[in-house]
Amino acid sequence: MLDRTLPGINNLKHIVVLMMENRSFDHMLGALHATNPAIDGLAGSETNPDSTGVPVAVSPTAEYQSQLDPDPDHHFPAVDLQIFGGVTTAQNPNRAPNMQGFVKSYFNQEANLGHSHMIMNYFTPQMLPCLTGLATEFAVFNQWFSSIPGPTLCNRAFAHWGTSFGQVSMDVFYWNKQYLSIYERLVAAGNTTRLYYYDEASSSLEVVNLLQNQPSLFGTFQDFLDACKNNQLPQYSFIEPNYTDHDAPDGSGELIACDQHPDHDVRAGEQYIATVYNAIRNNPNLWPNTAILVVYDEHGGIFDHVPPPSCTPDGFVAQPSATGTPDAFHFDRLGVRVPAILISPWVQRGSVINDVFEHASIPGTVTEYFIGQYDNRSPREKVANTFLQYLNLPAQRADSDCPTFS
Amino acid sequence: MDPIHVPGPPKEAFNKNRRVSDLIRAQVNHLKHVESRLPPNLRQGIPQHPIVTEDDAARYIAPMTRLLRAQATAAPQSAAASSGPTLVPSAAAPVPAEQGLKPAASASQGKIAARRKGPAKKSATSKPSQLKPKRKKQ
Repeated sequence: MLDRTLPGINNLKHIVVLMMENRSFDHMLGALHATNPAIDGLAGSETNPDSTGVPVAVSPTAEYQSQLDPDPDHHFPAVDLQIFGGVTTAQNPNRAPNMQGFVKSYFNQEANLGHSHMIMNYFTPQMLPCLTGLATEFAVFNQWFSSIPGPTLCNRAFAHWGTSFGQVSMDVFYWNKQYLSIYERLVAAGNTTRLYYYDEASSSLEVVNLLQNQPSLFGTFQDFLDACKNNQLPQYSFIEPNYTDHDAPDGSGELIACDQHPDHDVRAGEQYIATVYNAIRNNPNLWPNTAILVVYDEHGGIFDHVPPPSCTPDGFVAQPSATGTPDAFHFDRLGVRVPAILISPWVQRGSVINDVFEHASIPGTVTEYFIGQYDNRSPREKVANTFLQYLNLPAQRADSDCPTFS
Repeated sequence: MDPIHVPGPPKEAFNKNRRVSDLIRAQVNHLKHVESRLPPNLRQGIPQHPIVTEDDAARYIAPMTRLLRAQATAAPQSAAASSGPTLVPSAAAPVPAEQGLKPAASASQGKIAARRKGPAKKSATSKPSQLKPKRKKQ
């Protein structure tokens, strides 16, 4: 039960979630282990065998662009290989995740031995000043896992609905099912909410469910910035990045993708995260009463060393025809770990959170805070950990104690 | 605490001719599915160029998004309907599917074409002001 007497909780009026694309925890934040051993990152000795059996070690040589082209496979069968190293249930019904199949999986795409090793690369903190700055200045989650060992849309569904309704792929059609999205719940309870996509040319990934059925839930990123500036931020905001490189419609320039999805330049995403943060941080009417969660939807096929844990079954089953493997999936284990950071002036600097989270924690947290008791939710969401209890400082951190980005 | 500098991407990082990823392909296929269920008069204004690159995708996604967003003002009875900066609920019940375009079991209709043709009409998207995401054309 959330302690609402905590001043950070008592002051909280807004929750903002920014969900980026397709990077694993170790790839983005793993290097922080060297300066803070409490962060479950990389020791530098982690390896994966390549297709010839030679161990390939992790390497701090990730580049902003061009190393992960083609886009590493992160559909269900590929992620199964990445997590279980190629051991099937036919070979071992009690197989355990060993995170030994990432190089093999990437090799499968182009049969290029040298290139397959790049899936083990990770960034140094100096290359990602925004993400690592936020992780060290606020709270970083050691165990935030994607909800499904699969691709983007079914994982993002957990952030919106607390479930993917049995889907493990990119074809997600579940409007008017038994559970309402977090946005519908909030509206029904008299709260304000909005999903902000970058612009009309990038749009939302929630096309067939929310965008076509409830278009008034949406706004552009400029609408988000204006809402911050004019003190009209909804109680709950979900922000999507720009998913494509495209021309500005008035011909004035180029709008570069900022989702960090391979092979988009990671620096554009760094600046996007900084822009969202600054819009809150620089408004004294918002900063004391807003919690920001920066999280990635899934790992994008990139190496992470932490085996995903089992979890409460979701009540759905994806048959082998859907998983693309010999086995059905019962939604009883999580996907690969992703970066996640909780930001608020009420969060202790350098916090490292060790409880297990997944994307169902997002609607779980928002529902708990703004609605309270609400039963008609997926089994996964009902038991998912919520994260506002980390806004637990007795006094708000001074402005001079919280970073800004330029 | 001094501001932390966040470097931006170089100009050459921008490549609107990059082939679309599986993610964008899925997004476009979903929009194609929605488009296939539109009445003919609404479909007339939607560009039908082959979609191979991110630029192709953006030039298709923008008018489809505008069309879907227009439903918000065309159907103010929606539980979520509001044109203001924040969403103020007007009803307690969720919107039944009939008020929007009905989903189906598959988005297999309208797969992305494999070849690229000439450019279509430019979209009219708004331009968010970010840290430094947009560069003037040289």
